[in-house]
Amino acid sequence: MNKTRRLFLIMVLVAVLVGPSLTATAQDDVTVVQLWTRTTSLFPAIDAFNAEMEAEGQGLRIEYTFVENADFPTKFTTALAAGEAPDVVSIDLVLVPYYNSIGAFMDLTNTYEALEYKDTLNPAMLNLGTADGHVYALPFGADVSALIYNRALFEAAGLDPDAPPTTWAELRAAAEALTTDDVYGYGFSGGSPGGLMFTMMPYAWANGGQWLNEDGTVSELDDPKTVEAVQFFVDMINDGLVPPGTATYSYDDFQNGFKQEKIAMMTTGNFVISDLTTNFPDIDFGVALIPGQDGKSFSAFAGGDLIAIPNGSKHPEEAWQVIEFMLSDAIQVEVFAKNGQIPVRSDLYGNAYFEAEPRYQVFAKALTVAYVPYTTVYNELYDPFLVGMQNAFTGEKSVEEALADATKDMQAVIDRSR
Amino acid sequence: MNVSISQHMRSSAIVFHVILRRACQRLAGYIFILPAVVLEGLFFGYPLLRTLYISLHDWPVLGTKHYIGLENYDYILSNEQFWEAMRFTGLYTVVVTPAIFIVAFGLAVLVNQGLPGTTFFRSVYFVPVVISFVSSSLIWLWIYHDLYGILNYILRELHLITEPIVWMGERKTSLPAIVIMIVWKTAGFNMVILLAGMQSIPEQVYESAALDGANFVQRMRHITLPLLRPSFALAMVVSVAGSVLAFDQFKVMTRGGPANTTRTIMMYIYDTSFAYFRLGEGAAMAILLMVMLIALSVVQLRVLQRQAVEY
Repeated sequence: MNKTRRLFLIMVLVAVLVGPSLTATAQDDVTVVQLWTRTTSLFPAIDAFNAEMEAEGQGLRIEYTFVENADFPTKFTTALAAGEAPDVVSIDLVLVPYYNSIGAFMDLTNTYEALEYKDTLNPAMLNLGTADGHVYALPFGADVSALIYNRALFEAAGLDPDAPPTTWAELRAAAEALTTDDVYGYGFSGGSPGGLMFTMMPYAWANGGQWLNEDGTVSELDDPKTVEAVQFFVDMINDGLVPPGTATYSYDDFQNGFKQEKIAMMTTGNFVISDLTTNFPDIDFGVALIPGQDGKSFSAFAGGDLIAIPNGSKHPEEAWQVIEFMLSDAIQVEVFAKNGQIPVRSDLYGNAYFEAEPRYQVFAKALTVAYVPYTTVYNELYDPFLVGMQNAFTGEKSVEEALADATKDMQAVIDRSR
Repeated sequence: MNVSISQHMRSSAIVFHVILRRACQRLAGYIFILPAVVLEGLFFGYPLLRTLYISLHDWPVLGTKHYIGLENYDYILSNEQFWEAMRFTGLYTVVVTPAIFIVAFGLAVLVNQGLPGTTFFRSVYFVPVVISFVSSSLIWLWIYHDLYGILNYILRELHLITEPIVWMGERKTSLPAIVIMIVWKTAGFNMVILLAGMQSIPEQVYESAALDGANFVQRMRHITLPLLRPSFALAMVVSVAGSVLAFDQFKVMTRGGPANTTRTIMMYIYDTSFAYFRLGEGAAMAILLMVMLIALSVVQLRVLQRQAVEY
């Protein structure tokens, strides 16, 4: 072979042999913490962390993997089984009791107890991260539900836009006044069990009803107070106050209807504020707490993410550092509150962003009365739950019968898991 | 001695070479099929055995797996939800299969006439086959949308309906709607198979039948259909298997609803295994489904090939 080719080959050989060791030395100094999340709203927080670590000259960096919400349980469980779970995981809080039951997370009780703001962390969310008195996952980013209404449509219907409904009778009257030939007074997703949990069950809870008992061992869906709540919405279907396809609507369907101003009221989460103000700025909307029947109590669904360290992480200390950073003012206010997520620390509710956009304050208030059920078989319970609700919505069964049958099937699922 | 030693050696050498060549040819044959066998073993055989293994265990995702013998099978066979899913899958298969084949046969006959534009239409009818079931489901979901879908718009413009029909709202409308979508999507494939079968029927048979005074319908009944039986059997077995394993269209269009009335057995297996993490149960259901499908295919082939027709 000729001289140039030989020289070239030697250069390649040298590069291949020496190169990796050069880059390796650079990487050896930096500990990389693997983080999984299902929300894009976390990215600025991660960037902020990495920027600060670099500014301080600390050899610590987060590498994140975005996992679609629907794929999260499968992917995370597979990773756990393969021993390839990340160092930090931001996970849908309703899934945490299951993962605690299989011992997926590290015990954070001691480090949690040392937190100065531990008493400000949302109790409903913290409850789901706790098992047998030990804390395995901490509240991280909150999603909470409330009643959203179109103020312009309210005015057009002769209703006071500054006085949203505070009782079921008022809600019903408003829906009736708002329903015209091409607008429906209310909208919800009959086909989405998660949607129903988030947006309909709080009406039952505000009325005194329950989904499960305190420790998730008994299904209580057929409680008369819950039956009343579901009946309230079935009546809306039968009286044409919601779109005809509601019984099988997806979560997007009713939100899209609201955004097209074809639906005047809906119950949904805080994430809708930035969506509406950015993408549909012409819609003048208000936010109100989800009322109980007689206006004496309010409720909401405490959703969102908890943050935890899977067992088997090689960098638990660094992972905790990430968690502490994520729970600090810098992130909870400057990233989350700024982008419309409610801080999980109640001492941070009064921040500049919420003062500028007071509708967030209603959501923050909702978080204080919010609830979320505790169960290790959340996803599996969705199946009989949805069947029961849909049977009630389509009129296939009476509400009492539908919920009674669903309660039996839900109880069977719970019993099998114990 | 008539044959010399060297001649002996030469003939032995020849015999030796013949035997060696035959052995090499056989070996070559094995080597040719080796890649296929390896792939089959790797991607079908091994997973099948592993699934069978899992089905005999209580298989939590993390933690020890316990051998429980046929307990999973016991539970499944007495589980109403399993049978509900099987019944719906059966209903769907029984409805969609004749629909597909009537249309596919009609199209094949039409295309076989040799009218102008045959090549063009043959391709047009086949195009839906190459898009994915998910894409097709999403397209048709929009067509069937109760408020913004084009179908309801057309029906209202033609004054055939006054209120929008919620197509995906209940099984009695969503099942026919999805069947129509599937016929649109798969008839072309079966048309091609039937067409190939039709075109292999010799012209002379038709000619002699025409000479005997047979009309179009009689030719169809006594020549085309019987001679088409092998192609028909192939197309049918493949189509029925596909229908029994239906997943995409129902997952996307109805999500199994309302109230699990449109949940197919594959959806139930998927939920059990990957949403509820009951892997042993899911594996057992998959094995049961496979056994039933094999039995179904054998029955179909027996029935359709009972008398080989030759003219």
